[in-house]
Amino acid sequence: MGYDASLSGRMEMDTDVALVRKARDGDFRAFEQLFDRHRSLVYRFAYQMTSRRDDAEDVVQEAFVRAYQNLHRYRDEAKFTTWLLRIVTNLCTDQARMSQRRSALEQQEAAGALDWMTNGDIEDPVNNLEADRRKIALRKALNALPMHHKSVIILRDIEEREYPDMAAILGCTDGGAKLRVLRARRALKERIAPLLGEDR
Amino acid sequence: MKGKIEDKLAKLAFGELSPEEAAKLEREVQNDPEALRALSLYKDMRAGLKSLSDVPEDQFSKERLRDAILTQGLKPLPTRPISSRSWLWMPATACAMGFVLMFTLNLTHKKPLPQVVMGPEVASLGLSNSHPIEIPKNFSTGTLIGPTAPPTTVATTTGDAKQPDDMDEVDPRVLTSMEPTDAAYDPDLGVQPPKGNTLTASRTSLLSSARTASLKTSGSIVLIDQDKDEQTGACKATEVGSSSNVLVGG
Repeated sequence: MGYDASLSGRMEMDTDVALVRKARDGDFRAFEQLFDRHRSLVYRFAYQMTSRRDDAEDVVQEAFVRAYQNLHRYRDEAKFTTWLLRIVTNLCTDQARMSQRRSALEQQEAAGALDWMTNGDIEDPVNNLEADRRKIALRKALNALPMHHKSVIILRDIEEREYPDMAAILGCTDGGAKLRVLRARRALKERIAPLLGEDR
Repeated sequence: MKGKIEDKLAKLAFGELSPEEAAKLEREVQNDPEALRALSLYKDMRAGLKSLSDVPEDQFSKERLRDAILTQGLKPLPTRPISSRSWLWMPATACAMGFVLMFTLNLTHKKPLPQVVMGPEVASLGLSNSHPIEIPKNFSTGTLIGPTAPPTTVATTTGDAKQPDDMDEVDPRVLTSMEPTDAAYDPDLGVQPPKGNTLTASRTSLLSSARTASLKTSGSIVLIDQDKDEQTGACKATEVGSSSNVLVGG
């Protein structure tokens, strides 16, 4: 089973590598295939990092543009998705710096509206309200974390990526990735406790 | 609560402990209300984070990507030409900076040139009518005294003044040099201090006069340095030789 998974992963990686080589040679369709294959993954991560759909789409676009411009820098030994997510992480960090100017009110409104649009259980409005309240509190706490904590929480606890993958994306060792996750969780707990503490 | 226990609780809540480790930890903390509260909070956190994994559909298309790449991505990458000599800038800049620094330091620490003044035994200023010293109109008549110089006439250039034809003829507006006395001699300036209603030219005016006029001196040349003597506090002076054949200010 493990062998199959690794073989399948290897084949996928080979395919990515082959597509990258074609794209390097000027085959734009090969790059479009890469985009089709990985845009969902990139978008999910970008959305979690930015909490806004339009921002996430901008990040995805910018990430693929940068990937295309820097295809010659991609080394075949790393997975293409890992390389891509690394680009996204950097872009999101840059964007977070720039968007610090945005008012907190605007962010809250956007997050609230998005939650209302995307999630909700009309059949049980009371539970829905409580779930929404917790979700908003958690999102608020997550957004308040420093970028290096936020990214590891998203990668590990929301996107459920494995530690070696995370290590490759973050540019650290497996042990380093584990340590970062522990610290980030502790930081998030410190922030979420006062927000969820009212109903305890 | 200790950090190590808390980390284990977090791992337990997020399902990162083996079943044996999890069972052992649960037994350990079952009587610890603080640890149980933390465990509960971590479990809530995990559930909440999982619920955040839902994301709205993106509205992205290949066309949009193609447009973006066409407008941005196909720009030529900034490549350095192979024959670029840009590395030369660094040493060249360093050299230039070093040169400027040296030049500046040189200017700052440059020793002032020693001044040439007449020694005590300077014979005469040797002025003639052909080389008059210009004295401002408001400069009152007085006596310009040289250390050992014979009486010397300095012609003024006031409007109504006639330049004397004869050197022995003394005009009221003519400055005359007289023999100094030893007691009143100022070794620093080489001139006599004021005496009675006579006017002693300052060192500056004397030097400027010496510069503007071609003077033949017959005494010794004394170089006065800017450095002060430690014992006396006066400027150091060095006699360098006779000035009989030296044309000062020429």
